[in-house]
Amino acid sequence: MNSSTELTDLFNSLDQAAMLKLAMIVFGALVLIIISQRALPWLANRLHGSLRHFLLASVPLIRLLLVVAALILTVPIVIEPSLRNMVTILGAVGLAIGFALKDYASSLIAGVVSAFEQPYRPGDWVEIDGHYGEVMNVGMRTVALVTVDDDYITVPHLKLWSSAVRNANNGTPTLQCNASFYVHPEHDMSRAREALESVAMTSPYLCFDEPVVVVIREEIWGTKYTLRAYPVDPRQQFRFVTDLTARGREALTRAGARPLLPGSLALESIWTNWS
Amino acid sequence: MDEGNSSAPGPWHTVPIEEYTLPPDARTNLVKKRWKALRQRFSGEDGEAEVFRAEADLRELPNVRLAHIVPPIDWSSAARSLAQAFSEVTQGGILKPGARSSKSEDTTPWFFVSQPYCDHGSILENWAAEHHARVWQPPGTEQILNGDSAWLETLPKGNGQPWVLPALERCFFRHANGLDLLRGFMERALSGEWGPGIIGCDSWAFAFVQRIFPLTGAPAMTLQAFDGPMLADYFVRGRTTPASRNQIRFFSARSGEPLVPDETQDAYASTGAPSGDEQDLPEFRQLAAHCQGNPGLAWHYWRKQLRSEPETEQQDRAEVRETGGTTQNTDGPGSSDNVWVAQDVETPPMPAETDEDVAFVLHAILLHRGLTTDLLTLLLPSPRARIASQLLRLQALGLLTRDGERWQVAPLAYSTVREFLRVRRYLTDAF
Repeated sequence: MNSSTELTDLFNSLDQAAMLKLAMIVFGALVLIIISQRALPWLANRLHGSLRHFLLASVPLIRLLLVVAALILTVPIVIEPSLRNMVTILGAVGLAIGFALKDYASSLIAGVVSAFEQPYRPGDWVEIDGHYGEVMNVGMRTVALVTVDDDYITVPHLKLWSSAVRNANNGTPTLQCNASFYVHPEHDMSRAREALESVAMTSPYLCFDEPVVVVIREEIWGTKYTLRAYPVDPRQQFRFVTDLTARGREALTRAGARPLLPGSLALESIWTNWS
Repeated sequence: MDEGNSSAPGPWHTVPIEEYTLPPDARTNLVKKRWKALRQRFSGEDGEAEVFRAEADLRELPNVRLAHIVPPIDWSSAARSLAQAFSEVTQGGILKPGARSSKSEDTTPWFFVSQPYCDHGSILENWAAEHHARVWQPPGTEQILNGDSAWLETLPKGNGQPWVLPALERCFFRHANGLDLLRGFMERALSGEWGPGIIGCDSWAFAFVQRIFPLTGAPAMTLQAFDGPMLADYFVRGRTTPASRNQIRFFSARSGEPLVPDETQDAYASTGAPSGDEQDLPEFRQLAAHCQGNPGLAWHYWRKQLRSEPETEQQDRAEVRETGGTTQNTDGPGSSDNVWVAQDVETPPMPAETDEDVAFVLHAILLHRGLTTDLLTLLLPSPRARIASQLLRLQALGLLTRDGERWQVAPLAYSTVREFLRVRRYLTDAF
């Protein structure tokens, strides 16, 4: 009887005015969160380059700040914020989370960490757990990706603790694309290299602010060329690679570099597995 | 346009490209333009200031009268400033120190880069005619695409006589097969094989060529930007010289005040020379800033800004009919003709939904200073039908015009298009 009295003593008596105040804070926070989550991406998608990525990245951070602000306003209404009361409440909540909602809470905490460390932001192109796509939304518990196949994938932030996150553009509009070509070793390498550079320089997708690089590797089965360049917008990456591949193959043939037969390509995988 | 002294280059100055200076208000104007574009994008509003004369009440000038008041730019004056710069280059001293060795200055060519709508081809052809220089014609489309070095062999070896290639942008295509001839030409020209000469190039093409064939140390000259007083001098003085039978006075539709103070205009009319006083000419300052100092672009804007009273327009038409198409002023010398200058010119907006095809088409057209539909189909990764439909759509919006077979960016749309491409990180010119 005594302990239940002590527990109820932790909480303030919630009269009508306090309830109204609470409702207004929660409602206000929800409205602001919804507005920021709708308005900022809407605005960002009408802009380009760094500004777009900056605005998209600010969405989860703003939401977190709003949640924290709402909690700061709400707690003193519900409980008397003394040290004793806080320790009691937090201890009870911690116990409940530790047993029943461990993964959920871990994801929430990882969500808070992700808002500050920013391993991924809306607008980034990331690979998490084998899924590659554009980050559409960073929620409190999960991150949502849309893959190249237009699949919507939800990954809990929990993965952040144990999995590698590959971020291809890291909050900027700069994303490197690679187009690979496999050719017979008997050819003029300098001609082939110049031809591939021309292919990149003449692609309408190319961003001239970033370098164009041709990497050549001599393999046991032939020569592998990798053309590295950057499109003006990360969202163009697949069309850019397609353009480079289609025109690059033509250019290499014209430069006297014969493509390898399909049978020879099998050797590459054998060699890669073996080494 | 009457320049007064025929041997002086007038307001034209050819300077090294690094010394190109934007008009004083250009940056502020750019910020204002971006703010206006942003406001229009999100609100659709276009807040207009109160004006003295409602521009809707005024009428655009008929073409005949417009041709009289704003005749085409005479690029021969610009050619004279080029000649002056060329002689200074050959004597040494105008180029940046260390740009190149004095020995190579005699034998290697330099670049004359001009912004869109500044006709570098005409300037260089004028210069070539005055200096008995050989004018080289660009190769044909097939020659460029086949990398046909026969064109290079047709260019005569250096014998001390200067040469001119008026349009480098006609010597390449942004296509994997369209750059070999350009590289070959640049290599041989810059090695001094053909002796001293001038290579004319559009500023957008020049930006691209520098990525294909880095021009470290190669001197590049351009026309210096026109500021407000220079534009006033050029557009107003030419209409109020003593030789003009009818003095034209320009009034601001916003304030109702004369654009150029009466005493200055009287000084033009009596002496044919500017008064020399530094004056505040807000309309011309704004025009210079809006056009980033590009006189060719300013010419198009200025023509579009001029208005007349509806009754004056009817009178003009009657006069044109009576005189069989030519304007004949019935008043004697010293009488004046009032022309209103609109505050702002309506520029064609970019379409609300702009996919990457639109950017590709506009960018390709600017890089090549105009392309045909066939060439666009060759250079872009879109099917012909889609390109053709985009071209017609952009033409309907007033963003493109057709010059024969070639599509060009409309002058009044140039600033919008440039900004559209710049924010999307496409390669733009250096101006």
